[in-house]
Amino acid sequence: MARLSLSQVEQVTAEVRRQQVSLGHLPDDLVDHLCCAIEDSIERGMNFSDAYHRVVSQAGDLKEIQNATLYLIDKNYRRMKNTVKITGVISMILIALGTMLRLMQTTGGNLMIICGFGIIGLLFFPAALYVIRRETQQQDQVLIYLLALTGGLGVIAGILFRVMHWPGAFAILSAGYILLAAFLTGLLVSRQRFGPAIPKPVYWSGATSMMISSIGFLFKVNHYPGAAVILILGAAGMCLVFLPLWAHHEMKYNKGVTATFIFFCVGILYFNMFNLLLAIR
Amino acid sequence: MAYQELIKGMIKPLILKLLEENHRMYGYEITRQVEELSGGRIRLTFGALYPVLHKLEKSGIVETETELANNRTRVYYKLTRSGQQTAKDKIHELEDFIRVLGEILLAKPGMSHGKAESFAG
Repeated sequence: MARLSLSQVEQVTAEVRRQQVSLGHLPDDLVDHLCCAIEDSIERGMNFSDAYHRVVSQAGDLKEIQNATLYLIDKNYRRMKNTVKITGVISMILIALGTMLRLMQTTGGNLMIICGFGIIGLLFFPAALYVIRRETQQQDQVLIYLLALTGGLGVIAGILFRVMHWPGAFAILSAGYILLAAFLTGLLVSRQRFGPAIPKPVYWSGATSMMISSIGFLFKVNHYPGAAVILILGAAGMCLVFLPLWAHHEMKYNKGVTATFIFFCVGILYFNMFNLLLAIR
Repeated sequence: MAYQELIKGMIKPLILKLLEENHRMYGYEITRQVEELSGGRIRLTFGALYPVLHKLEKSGIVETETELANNRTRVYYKLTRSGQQTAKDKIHELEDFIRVLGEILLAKPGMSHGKAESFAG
């Protein structure tokens, strides 16, 4: 009977940890399961390296197993996940319809936009944060997620105030952005502490580009000079530095192109296209 | 494989049946046994097995024991005292469901319930 050495078991454990599986004794379940499958393959004549890669690629996304487990055992998580799906769709429809009505100068547009932003800020955003926090399973990061919640609410409220031409939009928007910057920094520090799933350069380039784009957006909304240059810098950082680094990291660990990867790339392209259009406007 | 789709709602009673027959089992052992007993036609994936095992644990139907085996922690699942009755009920439910399915599949058009039952034996 083949038996994995301590270092080989550690390699499997590192893979499970890399995929951010940390719910209860699920990591122990998965490490043992993967090790047993590798030992079976070695019994059939494979070497460890081939058996390891074959078993890990066949196992697929281990984080998905954790999310499916959470969905089954945690009623609150299930409720929040459904809330995210439903309120996300409803708020987008309300904002889109409200914007159309406003453009057509028909009544009811403002009310729809306010309701849409209200649903995002009061239901969608807190529920999404709850879901993310449960999925990351790092219970002692309450302050970081509180920063994200208040910062996100500030940005959403600021945009709403700006769109509606209400006073105080700039102050709310700026406070929101400052809190979100604190959230990103806190997230980076905690990622380093709990074992980084994303390499430091990838995270830094992404976070910095996102911050530059956000500042550019803030400048543009407030009609400050230099907004276009900042927006272009943010988009360049995102496309020329972050995207290649992140793509390299994904290819290296996932051994191929996943649906999430394609979705993420398209998302980044749309985000930057929007920013560049905003810059030249 | 078509079995993978059909098995979805039956994983819980299947696991309970195996745990009823064996004192305690670990995840990989359960998948291997299901595969062997089905002649390789049914394979429980990670994604199908562990959410159900954790749900059973959360409901108090099974409990876990950990042990160090081959340089790693192995989690064994076994039925709790109250879980043994639940297991019997769930297995009975599944047997009943399979019997009803058999009746439906073997029934000929126009055949009454009683006739279908006697035909199914």
